Amino acid sequence: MSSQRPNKTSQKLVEKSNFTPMELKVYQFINNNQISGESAETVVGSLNIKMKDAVEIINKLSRSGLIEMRVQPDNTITYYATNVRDIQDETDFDNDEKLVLYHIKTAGNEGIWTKHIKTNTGLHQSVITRSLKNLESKGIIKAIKSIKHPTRKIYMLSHLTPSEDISGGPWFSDQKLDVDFVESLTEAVYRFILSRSFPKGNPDAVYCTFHPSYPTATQIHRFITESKISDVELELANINSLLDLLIFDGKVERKITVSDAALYDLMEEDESSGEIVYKAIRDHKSRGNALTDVPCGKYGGVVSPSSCVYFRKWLLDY
Amino acid sequence: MGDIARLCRFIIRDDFGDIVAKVAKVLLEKGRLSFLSIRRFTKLDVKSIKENLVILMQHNMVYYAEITENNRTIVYYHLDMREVLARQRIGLYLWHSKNLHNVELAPAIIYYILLNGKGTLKGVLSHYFYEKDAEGPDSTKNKTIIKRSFEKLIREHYLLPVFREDTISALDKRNEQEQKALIERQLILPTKKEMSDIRSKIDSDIRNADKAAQSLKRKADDNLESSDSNKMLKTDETVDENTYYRVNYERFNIRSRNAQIAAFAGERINESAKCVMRRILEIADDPNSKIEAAESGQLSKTTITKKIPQSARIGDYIVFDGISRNPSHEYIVDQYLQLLTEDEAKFIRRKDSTASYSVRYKELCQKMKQRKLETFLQEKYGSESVRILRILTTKGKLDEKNIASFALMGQPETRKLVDQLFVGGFVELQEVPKVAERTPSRTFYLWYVDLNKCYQRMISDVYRTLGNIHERRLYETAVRNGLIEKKERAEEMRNPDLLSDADKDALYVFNGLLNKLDLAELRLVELEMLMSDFV
Repeated sequence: MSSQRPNKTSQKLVEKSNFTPMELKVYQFINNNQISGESAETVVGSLNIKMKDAVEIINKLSRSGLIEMRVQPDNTITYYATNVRDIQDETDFDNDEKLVLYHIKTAGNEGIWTKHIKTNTGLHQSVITRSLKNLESKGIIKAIKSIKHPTRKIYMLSHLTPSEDISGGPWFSDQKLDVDFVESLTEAVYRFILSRSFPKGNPDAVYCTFHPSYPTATQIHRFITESKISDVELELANINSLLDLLIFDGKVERKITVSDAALYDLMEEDESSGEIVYKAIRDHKSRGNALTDVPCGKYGGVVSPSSCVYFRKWLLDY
Repeated sequence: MGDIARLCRFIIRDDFGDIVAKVAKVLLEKGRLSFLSIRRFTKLDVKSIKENLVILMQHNMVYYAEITENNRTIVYYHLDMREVLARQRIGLYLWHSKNLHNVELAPAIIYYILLNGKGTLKGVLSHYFYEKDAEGPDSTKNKTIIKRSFEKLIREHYLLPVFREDTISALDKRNEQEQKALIERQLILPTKKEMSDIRSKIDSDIRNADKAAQSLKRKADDNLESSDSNKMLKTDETVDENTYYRVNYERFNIRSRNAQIAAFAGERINESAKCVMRRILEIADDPNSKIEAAESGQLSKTTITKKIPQSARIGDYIVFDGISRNPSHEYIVDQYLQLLTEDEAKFIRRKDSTASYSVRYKELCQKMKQRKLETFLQEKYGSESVRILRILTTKGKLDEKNIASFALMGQPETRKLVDQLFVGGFVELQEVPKVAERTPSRTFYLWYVDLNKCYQRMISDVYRTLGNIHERRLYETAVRNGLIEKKERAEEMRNPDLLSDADKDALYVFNGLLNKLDLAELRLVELEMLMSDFV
């Protein structure tokens, strides 16, 4: 991604503006490390300034949109120089375009609906359309579609990836729910649970109550990730929604494991020993339903049973 | 209602023929009628109407009431549809009577009484000996066995005594008692409270009277008082040979329910669990249990364990990991009890920290009903419809978008399916306006499921389909009238050569067809029992 390398233009821009030398220095320092960013502590350490000043400078840079704050997985906060490529030729744009761009930029990876641009800027619709057209042709912004509002025209900076709220997460491709993907993944999860729910060999056998190998959601997640069934990265929450689906479909049930000892010693109710596991439900679909096995239950409709063709077909079908 | 009346007509026609069905038809269509009206509507002669009414009364389907209007007493006749519908189950009842292992000859006795609507011990004896033509040395012994069995069936409430008053319609009996009570209390204009007092008293009287009537001993006492000839009865033979008895359908309904519950356990866990569940239900059953009972009494683990024979080999189908030695019988039973407790359907419930269990019939039946509904929807609308049903039953009221996101389905597909379910009557719509005006754009549309309505919907489908099966059977038989006559002639002459090969093929097809219809009917009757009678 282009944002990962130091950017000359943005540096020029910073130099042009009225920043103090110290502020410039901090900016350059942060700008030089695009890979992992810099924390406030390293800024203080390497540039030999006071923490209080560093915080002020960082806040100012951040306010002017030159650096941004990101929270790392280990909860530390680091700062990155923002990519200002999109405003490199800001001078090329007229004021309307700048205004429109400003709003698109602030919307971040959520994008902004044209109608909201209009209310926020107060510009005439035709002006906005023209500006958007210009910006889009220069490759600075792009139009995206939201799964929540499929009819809305939403714009965002071209180098950003839409947030999950907009794109719908892993289940969506091209703003449409990928039903086949969901189905096959659910099937894979189901097969995994099924394979661990019943003893092999005898089709009518069951495991005893303290059977340990019913899988948990985490185990299922690991299985899906490791078996490389899909390239799409799935989170535990996604797996959980698949499991919910299987429960709604009546194919799987949720159980809480209780250790054998706890079962016999009910006085000692140790909640923490319980773990949620999943077990497949025996598949007896072949039994069918008494009503739908007769044509009347399945098709309905007002015809005389004597002349009903479905009836005839059903009766003569051995 | 139309479907039920149509079905009742078919049932009566099947069992009793066209003319009885004609009388039944007017009673079904017009409700309670006086004799004159029946005559006017059926255009039959007085004699055959009388005969038909007697037949229907003998088979417990018609009740009468004497009403005094303008100093004239008019007798009204009323056909009880539930009694007619129960006739469909007779096959099932007979099958269950074969499983009454503790009563010898139960099937023969039950068969006789079902055949006759109501019958006496004398009738059973004469029928049985006439049929078997057994006048040998065994006959006295057989008679004692029949008597003993008959008595046992009464003791276990499989048979109920019937008296003359039982043919009076229940509603009228109540009304009469109500009037009597009003006169006794000298109330001319009773208040609502007084009225409800009287009604609840009558209700409890009826309930107690039922119990008293069922009790064999009490019955015997009555006989001793009423008739001199019975004074000679020995203490152990308390059955009055001349009292009429009818089959207590409720007891057999309970047996059917228990069989269905056990089968459900087999479906959800395995055959051994079915076996264990069946034994538990046997222990839980007693002659006084009512089908409406929500929960059984407490059953101790020891009793259950004792009741399950080692020979059932239930341990073969359970896999213990981490246990090397062979687990004991008690331990295996305990495991099955746990499996049954832990199952989602909650077959049995353990009373906290004691070793006793109970069966929650009501919840179990609800689960079974829901399961039937799910398989029905699955076949009719596809498995996604089951998903939507279960989402709505667990989450309550949801709008379309929420359903789609829980079901991981596209919104257009969801909308289409929910719409189909709505048309079918399986989901309901609740409008919640955001503002005072009720414009559609400013209204939330929330979907929800009312399971009881779904079941009602299914039951009416079942009645309609059962009617269709009868109609189709009549049609198939009618178009083959010639063939059937031929076959009967061939049987009469004991000469199978009278039938050509083509005829034989046609008969083969016809029999297959009838079997299919019969089987479908039987399964539907079982479904109907679950849906309408098991609460």
